[in-house]
Amino acid sequence: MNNSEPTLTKLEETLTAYLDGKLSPAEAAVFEAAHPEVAAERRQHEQLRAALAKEAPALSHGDFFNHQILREISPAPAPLAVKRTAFPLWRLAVGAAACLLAAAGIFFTFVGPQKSRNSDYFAQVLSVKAGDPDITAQLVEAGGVAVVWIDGLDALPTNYVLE
Amino acid sequence: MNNEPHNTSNGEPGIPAESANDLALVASAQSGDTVAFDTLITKYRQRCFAMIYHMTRNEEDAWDLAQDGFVKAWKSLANFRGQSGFYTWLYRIMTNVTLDWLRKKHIRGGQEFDDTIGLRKIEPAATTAPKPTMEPAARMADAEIRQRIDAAIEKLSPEHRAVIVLREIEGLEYQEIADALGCSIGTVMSRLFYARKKLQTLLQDIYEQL
Repeated sequence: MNNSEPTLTKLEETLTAYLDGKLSPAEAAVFEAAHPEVAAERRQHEQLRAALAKEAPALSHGDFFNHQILREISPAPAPLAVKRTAFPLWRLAVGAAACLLAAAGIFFTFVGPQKSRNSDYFAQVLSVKAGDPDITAQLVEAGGVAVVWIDGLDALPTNYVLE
Repeated sequence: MNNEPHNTSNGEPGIPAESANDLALVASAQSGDTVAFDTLITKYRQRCFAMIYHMTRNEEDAWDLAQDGFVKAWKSLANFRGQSGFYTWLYRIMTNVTLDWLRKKHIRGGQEFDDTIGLRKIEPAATTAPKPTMEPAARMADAEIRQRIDAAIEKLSPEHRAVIVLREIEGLEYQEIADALGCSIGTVMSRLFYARKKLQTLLQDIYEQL
């Protein structure tokens, strides 16, 4: 429906104004005199208005009503601002990877062969001393500390001394 | 309109205390103060809900639509310049939210007549609560009348329903209805005339019991 409602006739317009109490007492009296049936219509209208006005339920759960609105309108937490730094994550990751590669290169260039040589030496000594081919040994040297790994022994003999 | 009680002036000549208080709350809300808006919601929620309920004839729908109206009001607060009272401005938003909803419902379902409309649970504070002295037969008749009125109003178009509610229940003047609905006084009177005629036809047989 749009705003172009049917235009009321003069009678209809006056009746509407009459029902809404917009006529002065004198105008209303003249109107009633000219149209006796409108007095009954006015009574019906008043009855209907009273019946309509009877219904006024109370809004239930008022606090929850407010709470939901406030939740809806509360500003969402601002997204964490991404700080621009001289070292963003991707640069740090690339740097770390480069460092690891360099360390591995140094290790295999200088430590690897020595370890291998020591391991071979110890393996040969143990194989001679133990006489058991399942017993192996290797030596790892780093930072001035030497670690001997021996595999194949359930336990070292209590009187065994590594020289 | 103003159904708002105009309290005594708070020092500013011509500005009722309640309106001045509303304007202060609105100003705070406009700067993002949700607590101030919460106070306004609490103050006007019942009146908005009742008006919407009368238009929708359904408590749950009225509850949801009143919430939508308040959210829309919050989002539009920047547009409120204080030329009218806050409630008048809010009322317009509520009316439009409800009318839009009714129009969509009307388009989806055509002229609805819900036969399942039953006795709604009446809140203790409701003025509709049956009188304790009312006889069971009278109570039944009262409930039946309410059902018939609900059904008759549901038969009205959203625009006709709106003018009936705004005029007969809310007691708005023609100009206030015209402002709320964005139409002319002539249109308001025309809609009132035809809406009343339709109600008169639909409720003819129960007028004696009203």
